[in-house]
Amino acid sequence: MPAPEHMNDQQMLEKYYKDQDARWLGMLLQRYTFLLFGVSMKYLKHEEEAKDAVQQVFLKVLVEMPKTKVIYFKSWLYMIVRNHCLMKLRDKGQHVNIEDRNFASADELEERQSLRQKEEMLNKMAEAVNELSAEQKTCITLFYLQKQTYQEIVEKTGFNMMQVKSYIQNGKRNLKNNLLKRLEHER
Amino acid sequence: MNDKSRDIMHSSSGHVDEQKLMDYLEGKLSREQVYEVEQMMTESGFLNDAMEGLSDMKDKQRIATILHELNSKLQVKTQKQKRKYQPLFPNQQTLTLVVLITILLLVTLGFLIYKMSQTQ
Repeated sequence: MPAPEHMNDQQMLEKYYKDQDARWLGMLLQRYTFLLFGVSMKYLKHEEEAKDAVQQVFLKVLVEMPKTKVIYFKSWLYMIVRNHCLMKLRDKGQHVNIEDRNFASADELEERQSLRQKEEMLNKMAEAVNELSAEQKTCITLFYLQKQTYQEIVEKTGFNMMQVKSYIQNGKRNLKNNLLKRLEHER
Repeated sequence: MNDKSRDIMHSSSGHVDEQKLMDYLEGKLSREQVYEVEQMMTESGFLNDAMEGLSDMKDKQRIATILHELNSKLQVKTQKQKRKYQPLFPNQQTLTLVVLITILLLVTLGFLIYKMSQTQ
């Protein structure tokens, strides 16, 4: 077994379930503090509240893990922090518009996708790109084919940063759906 | 992303290099590295949300301090929870032995009490 810093999440989880030692969970969670705090900041937009949210998530994980068999730790954690933040906002009476409620499961799907499937999809991509909206097509082409950064796309297209990110994210998702439909249709 | 760039951006545990992400937020990366980070952001909703949240923070230097604080608290919590569940009997054999001895003692005690009541 490799040293803890070289272990992947799965190996750490296995050690945790085997030893029932919360220190493994502590080490695993530390890898995600950055992401957890970032997501909390995105939703709560307040430093202290975001710090509290991360600690609440830590606590929830420490309580839930012995009772739950978690396979995709990263996706599970993402779901927990998002739900926690949304509940906090709901308690404050704030409505949050979530563009993609299936983000966590989308992450999970990406983890499950085999390389072969990805290659197949890449071959079909050129056809599917044409089915995107003009804005999505522009941003996807600039980002993936011309390898432009977000800032460069902003400068070239006149869209703002949020629009660029959104066109890429949504375009990518639509592209994936189109490709999957095509692949299913062929089978 | 090609394998080479993955090696640059990921640690041996398969995680994205946190320092690289901090450098991205502080605008310290080269154009190629910026593109690599952004590509990873499109691949993970978790990372994308986090970077969005952190990019709104005016004082980026605070992030490292906050992470250190949160990690220290987590460490205290998990140290305390070390082996929270300690079974009284570590294995089935010990448990069986203890149960047998207890039954034997109870039977002996019962027998002695019965004998004593008979003699009286």
